[in-house]
Amino acid sequence: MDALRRFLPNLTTNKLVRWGAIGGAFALLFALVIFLSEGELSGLGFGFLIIGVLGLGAWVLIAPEELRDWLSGRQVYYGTGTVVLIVVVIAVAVTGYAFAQRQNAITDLTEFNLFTISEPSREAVEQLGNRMAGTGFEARIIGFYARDELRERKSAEFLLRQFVEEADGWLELEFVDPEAQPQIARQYGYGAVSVRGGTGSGPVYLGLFSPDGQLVTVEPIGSPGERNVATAMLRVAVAGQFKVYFVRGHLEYDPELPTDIGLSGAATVLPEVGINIELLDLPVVDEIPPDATAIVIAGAQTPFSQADVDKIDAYIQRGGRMLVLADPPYIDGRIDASIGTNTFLLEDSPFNRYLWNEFGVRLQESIVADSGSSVQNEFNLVPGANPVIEVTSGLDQVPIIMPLVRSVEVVETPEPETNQAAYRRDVMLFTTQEAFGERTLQVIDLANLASYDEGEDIAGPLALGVAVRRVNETELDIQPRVVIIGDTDWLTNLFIAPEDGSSGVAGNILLWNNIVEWLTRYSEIATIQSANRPDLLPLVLTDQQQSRIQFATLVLLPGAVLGLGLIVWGIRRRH
Amino acid sequence: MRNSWTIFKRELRQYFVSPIAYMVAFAVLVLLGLSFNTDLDYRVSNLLPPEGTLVLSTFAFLMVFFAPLLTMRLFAEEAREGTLELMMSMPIRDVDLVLGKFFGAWAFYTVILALTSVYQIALLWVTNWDADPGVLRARLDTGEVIAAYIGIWLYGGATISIGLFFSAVTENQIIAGFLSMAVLLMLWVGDIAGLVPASILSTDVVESLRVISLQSHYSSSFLRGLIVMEDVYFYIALIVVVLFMTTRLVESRRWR
Repeated sequence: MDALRRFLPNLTTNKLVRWGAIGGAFALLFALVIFLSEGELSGLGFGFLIIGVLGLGAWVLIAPEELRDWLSGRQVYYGTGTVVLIVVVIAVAVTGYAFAQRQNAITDLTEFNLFTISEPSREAVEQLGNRMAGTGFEARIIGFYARDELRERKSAEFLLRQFVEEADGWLELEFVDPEAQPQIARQYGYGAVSVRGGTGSGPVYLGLFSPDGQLVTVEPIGSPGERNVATAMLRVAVAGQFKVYFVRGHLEYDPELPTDIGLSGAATVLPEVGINIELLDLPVVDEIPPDATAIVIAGAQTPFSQADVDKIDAYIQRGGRMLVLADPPYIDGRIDASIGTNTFLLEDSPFNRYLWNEFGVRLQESIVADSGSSVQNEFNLVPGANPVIEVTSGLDQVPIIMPLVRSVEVVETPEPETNQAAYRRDVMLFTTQEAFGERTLQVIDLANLASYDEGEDIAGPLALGVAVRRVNETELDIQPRVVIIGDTDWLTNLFIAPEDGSSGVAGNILLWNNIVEWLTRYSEIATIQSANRPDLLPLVLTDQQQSRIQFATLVLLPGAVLGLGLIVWGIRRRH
Repeated sequence: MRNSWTIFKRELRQYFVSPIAYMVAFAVLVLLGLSFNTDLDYRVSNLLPPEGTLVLSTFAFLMVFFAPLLTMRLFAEEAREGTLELMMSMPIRDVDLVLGKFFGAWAFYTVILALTSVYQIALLWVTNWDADPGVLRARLDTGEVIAAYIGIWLYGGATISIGLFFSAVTENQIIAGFLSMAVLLMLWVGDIAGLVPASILSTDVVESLRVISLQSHYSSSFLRGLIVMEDVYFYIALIVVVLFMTTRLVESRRWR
C-alpha cells in the first residue's frame, strides 16, 4: 500500500476499493456473458465470478459508508427508478414479441402468391390428412439447418408453418441442427447421396411416426418450396395405392432375381417411388386383382392359354394397364437357347391373336438385324425413339440398347367399328431403313441369319415397340393402356443395374421410368405441377434503354440533389 | 403533441437547409445508383429476371453508416451549444422533444427513401409498362417491392432511433456517430453470428443475437415480399423501447 502511495500520492484505501468494486462489477458481467455463451460456468467464468465477488465484497466491507451513501443518494434514487422502468418496458416488449411470433400472421404481397399455399397444395395436405385419419400416426416436417444457416431456416419457416396450420394438428414442424444432432440427421438420410435424385437433394424431409413414436416413413422434400412439400405429401398419401403385378406361370423373367439375367433392378425402383410390386400367378388366379394398377408380362417363354387371355381381356376392359415384353421366339430363350424353345406369342397363338384383334398390334416371328444403328453386331440394336409421344419423350437423344429384338406389326388402317378402331397406336421404338426382320429362326447360328432374303424376311424400317391407348381417352382412370415391346433383355439387371456395380444404360433406365409413369399415371397423381411464373422471365433491355436508365440514376438524380445542396450552401454563406 | 409538431417542423427544416444532409443524400444515391446499374447489367448479360429489392437491400446496409450521420447532431450539438438546457427549461416535455427530433429525422429519411423509387420506376418502364400482349416480357413483382419498402422504412426508423439515443448519450457528435455506427454494425452482423464457431458462441446465443439483429427481421421477410407480424412488431417495439430510453436519458440531465 505504501509502495502504491509513493506512485499515486492521492490514493486512499476507499478509492482503491471503489475501483475494485467497479472492476468487480465488470468481472461479474464477463462471468455472465461466458455463462450465456457456453451454457455453463467454465474455469474462466468461475475466475471472473470470484474476482467480481471479491471486488464488490471488499468495497462493502472496507467502505460500508460509501455503499450507504450511494444507496441513499439522489442519483441512485432516480437512476434505479429509471433502470426499473426501462427493464419493465423491455420485458413488455419481449413478451409482446413472443406473442406476435406465436400468431404466425403473414401477409403475402408477392404478385404470384409465392408464400401462400395454393389450392392443389391444400388438397395434398387434405389427402394426407385423410390417409392418416384414425390411424394414430403423426407427421412431421423436419428441416436440417446448421447454425450458420439460420437465415435460410427462417425463410423456409414462413412457408412450412402454413402447411402445419393447414394440417390442423396432425403435422408438426421441427428444425434440427445436423451438426448438433447427427443421429437424427442419419435417421432421415440427410447428407447421404440420394439415389432418387429430384426432390431428394435438400434440407427438408417429411417423416411419418407410428402411434408409439417410431419413425416409419421418410420422404425427402428437398428445398423448402411449396411444390416440393405438396408433392412429398402426395407421394406419402398415395403410397401403396399403386400396385404393379409381375405375371408368372409362363417362365417369365424373375423380378426378384438379383443376377444379370433377373429384373430385380427394375422392380426395386418401384417401391422407392411408392409403387408396390407383387407377383401374379396368372394360370392359377381366377382374375387379375382389382387393385392392379398395371401388369407386367416380361419375357414369357411358353404360350398363354385362352383362359389366361380371357383374364387379361377382362382386366383390360375394366381399364387395365399392361406391359408386354417378348423376345424373338425359338432363338432367344432361357429354357435352353440351343434348342430354341421360346414359344411365347407365336403368330397364331391366342394371346397374339388377341393383341391383334383388340389393339391392332402383334409380335412377329422374327429377329431384327439393323446395320444402320447397332453396337458390336447388328442384333444389338440402338433403336430410334419417338420424341413426340409421352412415353418416349426425351429419349431421342439418349441411346437405348436392345439385344435380340423381334419386330412388332401395327395395323395400318383399322376397319371401322372394330375393337382396333377404338385404339390409337404410337410407334415408340423403331429401326433404321437398313434393318430387316429375319424370319428363319429355327437355324441356331446367328451369323448365318444376317442376310436379307427378298420375299421371305421383313423389310425395314421396323417397329420395335408400340404404345396403345384409347382414341378418346377422356375418363383417364378407367381407360386401358398397353405397351408392347419386342425384347425383354433391355430391362434385365445387365442393362439397368449390373451385378458388377457399374451403372446401367441411361436410355434403358429412362425408358423403364417413362413406361411405368405412362401406365400408372403415378407422376400425374403424385406431383404438383409448377405454376406459370412470368416474373422469372429474363430481363431484356436495348442499349438505348440501359443508357437512359444509367443517365437518370447515376447522373440526373444524384446531380439534382448535389445541385440543391450547393444552392443551400451558397444561400447560407451569403447570410 | 403541439410541441412535438413544432420540434418536428424545426428539425425537418434543419435538414433541408443543412448542406450535410444533402451530401448524405447525394452519397447514398451515388452508391445506390452504382449498385443498381451493376446489378441491372449483370441481369441483362446473364438473362436473369428483374429484381427490384436488391437496391433496397444495399440501402439497408448503407443505413448502418448513414443513419448516424443524420442523427449524431440531434442532441449532441444542442448539448454542446447549451441550447438543450434552454429547451429543457421551457414548458416542453422531454418526450415531446425526443419524438419531435425522431420524427423529423425519420421524415428526412423517408424523403431519401422516396427518391430511390426512381430505380423501381426504371424497372417498371422496361418490364410491366412496356408489356406487349403478343410478347412474353419479364415482370417486376410490384408486391414484393412494396413489402420491401414497408420493411426498409421501419428498419430506417429503428436505425434512426438508435442513432438518436447515442446522440443523447454524449455531447461529442463524433463519439455519438461512432458509437451508433458500431452498435448498428453489430446489430447488422448479428444475422450471421452463426458463422462464429460453436466453441466461441453457443447456438442459443447465436439464436438470441439473430432475434435482436436488424437484418434478420428484414432480409427473410420484407425483402421477399412478406409482411410478417413479428417483424413489424420487432421494429416498432425497438423504436418505442429505444425512444423510451432516450427520453429517460434526456430526463436524467435534470437529476444528474
